[in-house]
Amino acid sequence: MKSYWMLVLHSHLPFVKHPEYDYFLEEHWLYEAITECYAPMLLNFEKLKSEGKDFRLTISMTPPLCEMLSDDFLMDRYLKYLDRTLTLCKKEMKRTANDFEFNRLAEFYYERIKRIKNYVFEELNGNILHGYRKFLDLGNIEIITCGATHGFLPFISVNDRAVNAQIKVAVESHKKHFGQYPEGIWLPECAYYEGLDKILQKNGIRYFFVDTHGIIFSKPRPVYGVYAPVYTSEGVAAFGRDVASSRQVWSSKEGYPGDYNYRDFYRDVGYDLDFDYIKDYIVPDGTRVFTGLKYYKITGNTEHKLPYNPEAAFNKTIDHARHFLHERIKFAEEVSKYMDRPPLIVSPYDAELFGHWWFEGPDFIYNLFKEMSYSDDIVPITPMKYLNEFETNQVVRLNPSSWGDKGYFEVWLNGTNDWIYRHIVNIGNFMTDAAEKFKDSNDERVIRCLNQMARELLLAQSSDWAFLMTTGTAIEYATRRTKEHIHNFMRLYNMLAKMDLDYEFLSSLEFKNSIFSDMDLRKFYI
Amino acid sequence: MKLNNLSKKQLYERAKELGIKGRGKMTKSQLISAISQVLMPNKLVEKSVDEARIHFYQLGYESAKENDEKQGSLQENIELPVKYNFDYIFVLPVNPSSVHVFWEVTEKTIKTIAYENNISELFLCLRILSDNDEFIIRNISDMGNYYFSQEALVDKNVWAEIGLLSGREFYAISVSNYVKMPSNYVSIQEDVVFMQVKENIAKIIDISLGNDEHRPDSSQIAKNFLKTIYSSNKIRGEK
Repeated sequence: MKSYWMLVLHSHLPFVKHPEYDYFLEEHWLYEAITECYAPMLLNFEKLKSEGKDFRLTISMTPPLCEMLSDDFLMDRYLKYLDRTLTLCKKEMKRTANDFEFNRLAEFYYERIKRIKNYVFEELNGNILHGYRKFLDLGNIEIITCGATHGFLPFISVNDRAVNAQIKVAVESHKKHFGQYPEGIWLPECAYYEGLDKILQKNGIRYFFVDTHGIIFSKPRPVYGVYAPVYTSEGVAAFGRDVASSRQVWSSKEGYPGDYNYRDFYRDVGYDLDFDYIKDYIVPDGTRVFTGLKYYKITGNTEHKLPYNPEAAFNKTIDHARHFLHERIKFAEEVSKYMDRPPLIVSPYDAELFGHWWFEGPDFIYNLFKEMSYSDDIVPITPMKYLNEFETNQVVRLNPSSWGDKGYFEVWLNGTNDWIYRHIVNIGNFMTDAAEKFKDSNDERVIRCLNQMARELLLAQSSDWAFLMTTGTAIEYATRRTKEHIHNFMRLYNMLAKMDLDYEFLSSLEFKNSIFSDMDLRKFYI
Repeated sequence: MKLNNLSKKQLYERAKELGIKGRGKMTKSQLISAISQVLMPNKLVEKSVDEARIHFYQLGYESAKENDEKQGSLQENIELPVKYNFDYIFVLPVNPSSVHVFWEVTEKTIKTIAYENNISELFLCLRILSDNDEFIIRNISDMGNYYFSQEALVDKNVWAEIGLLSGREFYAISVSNYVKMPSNYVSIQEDVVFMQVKENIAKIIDISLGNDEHRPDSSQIAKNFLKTIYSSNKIRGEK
């Protein structure tokens, strides 16, 4: 019996834009993600297409990511970042002229970055979303949305209208960027609470994803486990994550990215080379950072790393793709013994890990679809295609859950970050009160103020900040962003209450925290 | 461990422990880089054990802090409200058996309630309730937060109240939102129900009716009728 495989890539970065600084480290999250993940993945889709291979996957593009990818200011800076990297590549080609292996790697990067620059700024006209839209129109990908700013919905749920705004803004933003309303959503952090399905249904969402135990612990118990979707009583479908296929890619024991032929993540010329030589390509204050030029392979459990060999690494992705496919087929055969319909294996991942942490990840996916095209046993499928084929599914009450560590909500609520929720909950309520109070106002200034309050609230709600506080990465930045948005909100809210508006302050926020700048957000809170 | 939080001297000591050569000549960032290279593989193994939920910005941005310090100095004093000055209490779920509760009550409310009910001794208490249990936490402050963990909460509806306790009488000041707690076990419920969601039928009939939102009444009635059918989503097959 044939079975189905559903690949879901969740693409997200928090909204980071700092026009007030010439150089801002966290903005590089975006530049590196485009260079290492989004562009290489799209280029591999182009390759599959030109080779006549069929491929199907689901990609979530979160609203903050879409807003950044179509922000002229940020894309202009991205172009400069690429140019700077190209200059470094040239410099490296000169430096390594007498060393065949390193020289060819420097050239490898030069060609690679040049290709990406050409693709993004010539072929896609400076907007990488055009690339996604192309494959959407071709039917190769289903693009789904996410919470407006990746807000952790179970904690926002004390105010239904605030949750509704996260969804509604996302749906409208999706329409703006992709020309159509989304049919599916990737719930931020895969976090589901009872009752959320009503709000999703109201916003035209047909399906979403939950972690394994979101379905396994539901009531009644699911007859197909996670190998078929279920419906909530609202008729919204929920697809459950398959544990085995996730592990295969990321686990330390069975995971592919740790193969010795793959590129070593940590050895980077930004850290390895003389300070004076590299200083123009790291943080201006001298802090060393990754430049993206990495010359070594993982090699083994040793400090003595050997030079990276791109061809050998590529060949490894073919082996791994075949292995992955073989394992899925074997697994599906086993599962299908217990089912009266073909099993569906759902494999969701963070998109950025393919290319960033696992440099060869996009090639793995390329080879996987290629191998799959030769196989009749397993067929890639997207959610709407599945739901159109299998319209009848079991109805359950899903279990509240997330895909975070331990499966519930503690990653986003613990001693390191619990202080934020007093504010987030209160300002969420203030927002809906203010939107209601001034709903009939035609005063342009009041409307601007309300809309900026909504932007500050949405930005404060990003689950990224709480996550960073828990993991201990960029804590100061995460704390500052949270405080800043709460502070800005309260200042605007108090200004509005006294009808004493400081336009300079308002304008500066509109310029800086410009997410959803063309949307009349306040109406989503009524 | 956050290397950036360590002083240069501490980093040097760490480098010494790890046997990093040339440590004496290294700058702070070089030390961090050298130590990371030795430590990182282990750290990653640890992280990838649990389904490897490593996010993008967890990797390679360990140096972010120095940047923050520099920029932070330009943006000091981001003030947040210390108090919001009204009565509220909220419950957020943490995991199947724990909740996080936070609240604030104003002095004015406490005095009013005490006066109206003739309470002389003021004991502010937190009451955590589930479908069939009740827990009281005594003598709390007028603003605070509390983690409450109890197996009895699993899979239940949970809420909290803040109020004054006088003898056996509890005078609620504020009542929280309701939280449906997650479950952590496979249900024994077996009443399997299937549902068919057929959007296509609705669409086809919609097209047949002329696909016009502002049509006269008769088709609107038909449409509404259709909506009720399709929103009740035909149910079949009870075992």
